[in-house]
Amino acid sequence: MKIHQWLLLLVFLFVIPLVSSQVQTLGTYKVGDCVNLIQLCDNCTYNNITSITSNPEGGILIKGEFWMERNGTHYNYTFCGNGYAGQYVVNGHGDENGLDTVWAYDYYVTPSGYRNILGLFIIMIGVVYGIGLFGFFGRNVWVSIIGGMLMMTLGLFTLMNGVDIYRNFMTESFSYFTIGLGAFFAIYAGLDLIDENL
Amino acid sequence: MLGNVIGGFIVILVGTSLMPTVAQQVGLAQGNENVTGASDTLVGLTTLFYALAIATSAIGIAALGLRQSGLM
Repeated sequence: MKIHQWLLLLVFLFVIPLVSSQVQTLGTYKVGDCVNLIQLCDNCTYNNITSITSNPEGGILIKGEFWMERNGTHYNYTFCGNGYAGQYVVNGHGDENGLDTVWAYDYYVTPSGYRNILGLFIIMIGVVYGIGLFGFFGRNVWVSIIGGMLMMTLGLFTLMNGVDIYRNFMTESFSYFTIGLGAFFAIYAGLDLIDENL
Repeated sequence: MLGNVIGGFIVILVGTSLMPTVAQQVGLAQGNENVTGASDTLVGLTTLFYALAIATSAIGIAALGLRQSGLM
């Protein structure tokens, strides 16, 4: 192949993803919340949702023709079946310029309603565990008690919200472990203080 | 002595300030359908553990004060 053919191939490789990336993201929502699925079209007479699928759990949640409520150029369908954490893909179609046109976008559902905060979680877990361990093994009663309390609140938080986009058996086990270890650090240090002074 | 009094005061202050939040979160966690059985009991005990930590701090600082003042 000559140089210009290689360049043409390179241009195609860059253009193909731009053409095929029709799926857009609506945002991130909390598990169990209702989501307003919107579509904008200035010259459509209708827009219908044909299916909503959930990955990795859930599979096909709805399938058929679901009419979206129109308000000017704004079409809306409220979907409340967001029981699983993961990616939800919405497929639909509308008559843009008189032609039946399909569209698709996705949104994410996470236990906390936030995504890509794993770094924050790692820092938070590191700091809280650091305070607890430093207080306990450094024989500092007050730091140990306050670290233990922090660990209990961290355990409760991860139990409710999971860790970033994950909430499964492992995150729940981590939560219970953190609550237990925090309680041990705090109560042991308190009892040790009483014991030393009696 | 003063360091222990300040340390104990801060721990009790922070602990009692966070106590309602912890109790509320425990209630919410127990209302979650994923938390059942032994997990539900353990989560319910978190409020007690938390309160025990504050109580032992208060008792500990009182014992320390009494000991250092020669009353115990």
